[in-house]
Amino acid sequence: MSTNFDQIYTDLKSGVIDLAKQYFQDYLTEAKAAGQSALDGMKDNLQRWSQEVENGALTKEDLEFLLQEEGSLEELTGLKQAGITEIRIDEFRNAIISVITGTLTSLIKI
Amino acid sequence: MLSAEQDIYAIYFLIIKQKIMTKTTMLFMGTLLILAGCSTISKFDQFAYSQTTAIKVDVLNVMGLATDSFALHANAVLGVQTEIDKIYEYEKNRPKNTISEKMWTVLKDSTGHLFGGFVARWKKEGKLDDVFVKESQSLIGSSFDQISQLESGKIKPQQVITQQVTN
Repeated sequence: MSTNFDQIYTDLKSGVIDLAKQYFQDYLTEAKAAGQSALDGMKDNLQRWSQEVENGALTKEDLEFLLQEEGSLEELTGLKQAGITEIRIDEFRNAIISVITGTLTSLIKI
Repeated sequence: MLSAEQDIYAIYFLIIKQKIMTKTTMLFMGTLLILAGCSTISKFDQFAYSQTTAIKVDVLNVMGLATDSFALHANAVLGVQTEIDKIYEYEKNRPKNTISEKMWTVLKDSTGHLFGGFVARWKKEGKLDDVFVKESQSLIGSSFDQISQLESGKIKPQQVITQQVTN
């Protein structure tokens, strides 16, 4: 039996492209939604805190602390997003390996 | 050994058996093995996830006491800080876990503005206003959610196996 690996590469190419589209399109959609949600949350907080400072429920020191707290939360959100990117890369790599091993298994019969 | 690596080794032996081991196939299989062995981030860890969600509840509860004098609740605060230090040590020593470790560092930093900073302010001012405490609870609760969402998003070991079987 002879196995033509150039042919395997060609066959796999379209599968890998499809996988890339699937994984990274999903990721882009998730990232956009997460970014929009964070912005919406921040806007709501700023409006509420401004009112609370005006009516005396929060001091200016409280507001300053909360703004910095919000900044730290955004830092954690950014770190989480970076971690999710790494997870997506791992999932993509595993999917490619699965496609390749599946193809090889079907080509090389015992 | 990861399931992907096991599959690749199985194919490797089939290739040897079929006597089609050329330089190209060796290079190809070697590349696959390297790919299978190189994850960029740690896998899901049930203990880390459970601890994060449990500590979040303890943290929010102890923050709710901040309208009282810090001295009254110093022991409770210390207890929660110790729990955070324990999970931080656990996360720090997991391989490929730099991002989660960094998240805990930000959360517990006493010179920052999340739980560590909140406690430092409570200690300095003696007690804190109710509205401020509630707003801080919301932000710090969300901070814990970021850590647990990252953990829950990580690849579960059984997911890798399932993926290999279904393909």
